[in-house]
Amino acid sequence: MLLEKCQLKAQLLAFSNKFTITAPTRVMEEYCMGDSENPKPNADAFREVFSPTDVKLDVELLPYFYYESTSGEIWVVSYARQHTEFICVIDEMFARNVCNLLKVKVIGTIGIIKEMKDNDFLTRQDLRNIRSAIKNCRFYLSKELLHQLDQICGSSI
Amino acid sequence: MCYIEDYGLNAPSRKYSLMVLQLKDRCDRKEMDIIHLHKIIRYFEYLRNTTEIRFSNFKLGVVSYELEKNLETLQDSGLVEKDDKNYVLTEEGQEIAEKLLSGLDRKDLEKLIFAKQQLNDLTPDELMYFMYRLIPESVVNSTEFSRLEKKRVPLVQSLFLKGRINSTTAAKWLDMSEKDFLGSLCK
Repeated sequence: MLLEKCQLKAQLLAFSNKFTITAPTRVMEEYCMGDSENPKPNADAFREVFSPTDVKLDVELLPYFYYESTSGEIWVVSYARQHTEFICVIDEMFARNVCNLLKVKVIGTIGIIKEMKDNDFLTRQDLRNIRSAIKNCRFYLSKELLHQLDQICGSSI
Repeated sequence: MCYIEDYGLNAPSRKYSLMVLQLKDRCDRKEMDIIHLHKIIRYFEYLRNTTEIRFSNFKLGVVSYELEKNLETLQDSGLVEKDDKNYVLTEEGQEIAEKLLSGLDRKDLEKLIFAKQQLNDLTPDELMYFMYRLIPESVVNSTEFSRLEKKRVPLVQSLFLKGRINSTTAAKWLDMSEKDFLGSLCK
């Protein structure tokens, strides 16, 4: 979302110099499949920003994910359980529920935007663009999260 | 530990009924009606990949005669009481349930908590649809599945929005791509 729809590659790279960010290979595979809005995703940019890493699946998580390892979140949570200094970035409430149950730290896209803003990685124009991009693309956020986004972006605009 | 022998709490259907009634759901409620109790214990077994309690596929999906009979016994023993349609623990039932929970394996405890938190505040239709899709063979003698299938889109969307299924599962249950499913929520 932040990389492709909001076009924040440079800002994310700068952010990654201060905070290590990574994504499981499975998440990159999902990203590279593309969709109707973005049939040719920029895999090179993804690699550059997120340094994809191979993750060992935590089989204890399988029951919670219907004994399937197809969704990206199970790999993200697996990594976070093996590297407790990391925080998961997950938007879907289901996987967040699993994280809360298993005491895995988790934030969402809005949390990342707030961190980037608080650490001066985003300009006012970036925040305007983010708000517009999120509201105009097929990226589901609850009303509560959209309100939080407005608060984060609104306070700078 | 004589309470275990006194009340026959070696029986899985008795001990898990007591324990699940002691846990809070997402609305901080402990009480459970009979259909939620059956489905939540069955979901717990699904999460553990075990079959300690015998379930059958009946009109409303998976139910357990064994569980039903043992709940009656727990009521007769004064550990559980029923107000209107909900089961709750008595004071003695709560004390015993706490002891049982403290001795439960951590992984099993997490699964029991998850089962109650994910299902206890769902509407009966959401709950039944979730279980029918989770355990497809439970549709066999169902009198409800065809009715629920007709409103599967709002049911699946609601289950997703409440965080009870992920988008991968939602899309699969609605025979569409994940992107299309998520897009349908933005309309």
